[in-house]
Amino acid sequence: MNDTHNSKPLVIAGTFLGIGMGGFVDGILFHQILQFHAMLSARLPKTSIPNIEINMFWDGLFHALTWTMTAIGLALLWRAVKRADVPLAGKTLVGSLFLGWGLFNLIEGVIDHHILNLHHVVERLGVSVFDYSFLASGLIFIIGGIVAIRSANSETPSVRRG
Amino acid sequence: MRRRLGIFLASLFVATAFLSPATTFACTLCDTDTGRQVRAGIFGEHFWSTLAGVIAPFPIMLLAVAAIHFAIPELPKRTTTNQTNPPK
Repeated sequence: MNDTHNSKPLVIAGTFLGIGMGGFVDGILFHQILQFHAMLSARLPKTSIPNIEINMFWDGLFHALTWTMTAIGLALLWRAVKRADVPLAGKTLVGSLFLGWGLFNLIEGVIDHHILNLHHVVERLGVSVFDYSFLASGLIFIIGGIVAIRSANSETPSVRRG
Repeated sequence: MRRRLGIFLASLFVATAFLSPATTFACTLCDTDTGRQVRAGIFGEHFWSTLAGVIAPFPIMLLAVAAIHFAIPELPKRTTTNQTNPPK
């Protein structure tokens, strides 16, 4: 019996989920719990109620987009697990989640923190070592994710069920 | 009894929300000075540029995922089970 070894659907689903969950880590941890920054805090400092509310609006839009990425990832994961040719390797999924999280940190960091200057990781410091650490974490997560996916691909048997 | 309690608590919540001091009505849609300032700040002249800026990373992320999708080569088919040994 021939069978294909196609981990791509799981990788794509996990990457979407990683982007979404990475966005939620940023939004929940940095925007809400630690309150290091908000979406537009470099332009509208959180020093008055209107500014806080305006930032909250744009934070909400940002969260809506990360929710959308997560929902897409969930839908793709559902499709992937129903395919007989997709090996359900935990290492592939975790690697893909880190790949997506890394993509989020790197792309969001470059665009929002450095190009558009919408906000910075620790707003009161402006562009700081924390912004560069954020980018570095993105690179590390991407590389780690790719290594995990490749490792899983070399280990995973092609037949998983049936 | 539980239903009545639920209705009472819901009514209390709604009443409290509407009877609170105006400063708490800083929501996006509230008809207060703060609400008007918030709406003016959101939907002012910079609305579209801000919207584009907030959205900007996400199309790039989608492109990155598309690149991953098309960059990953299809893994070759493997013969896994029921292999017949070649005749000796």
